Amino acid sequence: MAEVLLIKGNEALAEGAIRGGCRFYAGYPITPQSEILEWMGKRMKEVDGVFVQGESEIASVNMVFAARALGVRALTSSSGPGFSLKQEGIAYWVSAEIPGVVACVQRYGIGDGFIGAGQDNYWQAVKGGGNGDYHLITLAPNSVQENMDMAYEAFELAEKWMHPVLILSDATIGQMVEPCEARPYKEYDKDQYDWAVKGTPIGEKNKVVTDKTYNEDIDGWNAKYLAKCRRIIEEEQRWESIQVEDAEVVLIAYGISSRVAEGAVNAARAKGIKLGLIRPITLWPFPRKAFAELSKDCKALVTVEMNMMGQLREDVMLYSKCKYPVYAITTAYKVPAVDDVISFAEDILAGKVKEEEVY
Amino acid sequence: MARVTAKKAPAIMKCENMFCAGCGHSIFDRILGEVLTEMDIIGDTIICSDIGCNHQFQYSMAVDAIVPPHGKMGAALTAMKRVRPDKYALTIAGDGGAYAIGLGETMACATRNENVTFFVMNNTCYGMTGGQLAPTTQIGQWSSSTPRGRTVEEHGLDFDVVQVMRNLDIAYLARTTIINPAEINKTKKAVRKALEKQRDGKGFGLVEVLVPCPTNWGLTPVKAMERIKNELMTRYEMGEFIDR
Repeated sequence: MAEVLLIKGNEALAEGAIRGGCRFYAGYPITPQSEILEWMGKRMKEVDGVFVQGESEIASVNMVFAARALGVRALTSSSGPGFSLKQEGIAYWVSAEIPGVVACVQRYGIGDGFIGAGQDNYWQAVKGGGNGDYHLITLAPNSVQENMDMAYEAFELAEKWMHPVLILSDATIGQMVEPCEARPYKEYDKDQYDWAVKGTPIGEKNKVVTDKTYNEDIDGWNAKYLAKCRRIIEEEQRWESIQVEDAEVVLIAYGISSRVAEGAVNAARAKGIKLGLIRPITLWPFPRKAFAELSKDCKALVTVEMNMMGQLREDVMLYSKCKYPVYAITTAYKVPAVDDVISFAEDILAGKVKEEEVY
Repeated sequence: MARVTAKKAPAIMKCENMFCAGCGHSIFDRILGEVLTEMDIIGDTIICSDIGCNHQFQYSMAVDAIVPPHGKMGAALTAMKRVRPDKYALTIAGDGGAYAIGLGETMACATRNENVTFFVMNNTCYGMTGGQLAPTTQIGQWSSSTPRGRTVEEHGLDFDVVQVMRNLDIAYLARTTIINPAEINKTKKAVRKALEKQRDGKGFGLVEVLVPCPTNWGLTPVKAMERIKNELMTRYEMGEFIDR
């Protein structure tokens, strides 16, 4: 029988990583993700892994660079300004093809901001974040179970593409407690991959883990990187569609907002309003294929997101090729309410909302 | 008449180095290459590179390495040693990397007494970027970002790692130079000792090596060596300061 845990989302993320073979964690305390750090502090000892409380987020992200370069499955996590501090290090992971995993438990605000939930790291998460052009493979859990499952599979996904993976959670998912099925422990050997640095005797070819373009032709590497991104876009798009086939208004939401949006779809249907939902599970690659499922009856797309400016809305416009008017319900630091989502959809259908007036 | 023959470079030095004429990094790399060879630990060594002139060791030395961001060696070495405690984790760092942008990571690594080794090349400037002010730039010394020279009022005193670290609970701390065969031999002994501390699990070791940068000092290689002897070796305490 499966082992069912009743734990916080942050704890589930940490436990999922450990069961997925993670044996190195480095992080720095910051609300609302500190339970990941604390869980790792306790659990790494029990599984003969390594836990380091870094002196900063910058130190922690570079500890993960080193541990991962030496072959060990490694995780760091943060939130808000701490996630910003990690961006330089993550860019180095990308350029050195280090399959590290980072979790960002989003909190709301610019700079220091607040410690409560938000979804305003979207741009930073999916548009690069550090210097140079790259995207992170970005997973968006919307439950404690998905925090567990996405952390559990993130290392293999990163190794499959030799590319960093970001788990973009949020304070609500991180802090709430739900039942969660624990996954079986994966076997992983830090020596199982040839790329791992472990010392080379004289006479054999030594290894240097660094920006790949130092030792490869830059045009050649760029072409390979673009080709890899295209394959990721083709193969890794994930989403969940709920009652979109006949929907007149289709909501697009991820994370905690998608839980509200799903509630809104069910409540609206009971009132005879044809709402549907596309829930992106990967934010990059964005699930652009999902828009092919929309019917001719679709009159509008509405993102539901916890920020000021409608960050997700921009991508929905881009990937739906502006075939429909795109609106955003932006609730900043407040979790949106089901009734507000439904009345917004009703206003759209009644022609009361102009697209440009969203913000 | 005595015949002078050049000692053959060990196999780890796989080709000619790419440093400027008269640069001290190449001399240090050769010393390190000899020590790793004599201790027979090349296959058990992973170097954490800094970024700067120092990182060019990777083009002439056949040894495994990783290259994290500039200055972050204290963090990276910590992780390297903890996930592979049977390997030697060391860095060849610059003074800007170890004492300016990476000072936090260097000090945190030392205060945890991580079982890793720092070799810091002090050439009193940022070499690769053209000779700007470093923490180690001397009072009165010209740099490309301090055209009137370093002053205490504007830039503070130059950084002295021995003053900062001598009371820490670490395994080894020394300052040496490479300006002549006698000093090269002292450096070689310090390098070996620092690595033996790591082998024996004693903890953090740091050897600062005073090295010339003729290019950015605007001196000939010989004059640059003389500057170290006359100016830096009188300014700084030399020798071993911690040996536990």
